[in-house]
Amino acid sequence: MGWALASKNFNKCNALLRQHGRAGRAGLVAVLLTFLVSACASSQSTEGYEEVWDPIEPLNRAVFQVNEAVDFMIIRPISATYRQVVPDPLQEMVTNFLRNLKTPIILVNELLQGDWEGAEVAATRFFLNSSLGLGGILDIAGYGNPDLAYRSEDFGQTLAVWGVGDGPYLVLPLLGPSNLRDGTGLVVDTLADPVTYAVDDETFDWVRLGLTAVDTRARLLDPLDEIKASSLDFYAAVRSLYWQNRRSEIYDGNPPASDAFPDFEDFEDEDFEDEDFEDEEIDDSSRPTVSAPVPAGAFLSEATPPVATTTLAATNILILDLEPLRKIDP
Amino acid sequence: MMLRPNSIVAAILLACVTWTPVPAAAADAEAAERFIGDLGDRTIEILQRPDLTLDQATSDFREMFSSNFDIPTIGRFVLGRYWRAANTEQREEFIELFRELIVATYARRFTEYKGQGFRIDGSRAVTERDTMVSTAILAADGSLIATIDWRVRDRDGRLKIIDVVVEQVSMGVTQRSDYNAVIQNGGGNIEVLLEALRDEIQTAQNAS
Repeated sequence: MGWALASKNFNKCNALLRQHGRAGRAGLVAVLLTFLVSACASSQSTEGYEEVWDPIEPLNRAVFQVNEAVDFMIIRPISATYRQVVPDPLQEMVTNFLRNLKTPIILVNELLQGDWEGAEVAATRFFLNSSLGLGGILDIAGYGNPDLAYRSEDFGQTLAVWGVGDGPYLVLPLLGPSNLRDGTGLVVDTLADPVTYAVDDETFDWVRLGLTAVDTRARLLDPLDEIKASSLDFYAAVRSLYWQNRRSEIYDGNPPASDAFPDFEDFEDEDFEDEDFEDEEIDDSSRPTVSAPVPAGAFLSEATPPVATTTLAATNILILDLEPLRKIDP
Repeated sequence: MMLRPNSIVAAILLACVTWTPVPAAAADAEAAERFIGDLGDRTIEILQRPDLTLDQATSDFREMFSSNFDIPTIGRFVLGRYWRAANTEQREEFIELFRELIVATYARRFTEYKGQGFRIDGSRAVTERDTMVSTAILAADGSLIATIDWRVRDRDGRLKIIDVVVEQVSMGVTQRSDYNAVIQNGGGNIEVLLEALRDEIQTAQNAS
């Protein structure tokens, strides 16, 4: 049912695009942006350490549960089978191919972020891999060359670089963890993806979407099982992971140490004796907010859910894609 | 003979260069890297024992964890703002349960060793006392599995790990969110977390 819904929306989206053409698209983007920026402007962090701002937690938890059910029944089994049955080299080619399709929109985002170096990497990758890499199934550019390794960008990150805060945490149906900023970014990326227009074929879009979902979920099988097994509250753990992961992506793998790794206070022996000091009530209504606004100047990074089609992509936790983080080069 | 003064000058220069005191931070970084490297080597030695049983793995892991990680500091961090609201008994019990849950969760991994190795990729100072040591975890064939950063704190010359950062995701931060959510959903009652931890330890032990 979830997929049916997704497909309906997807078709609508396509129809919308065809009807309104370029100008309509630009207008839609502008409206979304305005909404986003104003909505996010109101989020602030409060005292204490940062926590993800989740004002609609009950609703998010409900969607999360539905996603988990869909994942358990449909997406995970397919992805697990895919990983087991398809030979590793072929899986790698699929990953490469999908990444190559994402590269044009990554290039656009690098440019929007003012990251010329990143834009050059994206452009080089696209030309090399599309030609010598046989249409993208081989990562010729990145092979043995960390400087040209894949890095993902998306419009959510671009907005962050422009100074837009996270906004409220959102769990999107099927797509999983997001927030107002990143969700908006996803819509923009999807509508703006040059590849969708260049190819202009609905079947292609669908195949791409399906492959992206399976590819992403297959690579997340172990990490997610792990997280699920080692957490008490899976929802809360995923929320934190999403936030940390996005921060890392926004800062291109080098989030500022100060807030990425909050100061740990030393434990002292007196900690066991000072109970007389303020047993202050903890008021849960004043839950710390979060959403670290990313200073402009933070830069590029890896992306997440791809674009276009991809949008609808994967699963539950799609956006958790841990892989981008590997690009932590110094 | 003519060369002699030059040689002396050269020797002095060389000595100066050699004797230039190494900046304190660099020395600390080196110590932290050595600490992580030694710990990794010793751990792999344990892992390689072919006859490793789960019981042995559990006790070895508990020993390694307790002596190389600053568990009370981590526990205090993880409990976050609820640390202050907890009384002495609750704090003690929390740290005890926290340690046992980690042991129960990870000891099993000790018995699943498949030849993975690690590589130290450098380190950087995070604060005056904390150094982040970067490592790459490698599969037996040398391919990269994950990057892990170890936050090492120097407490009066004694080095201990206070956080493990896997692919830029901090275990401490994640656990804090996780545990705080449990307390919040339990109406702000720390006992709810303690109970959940007891259950989870039970589950983890039964799973093995």
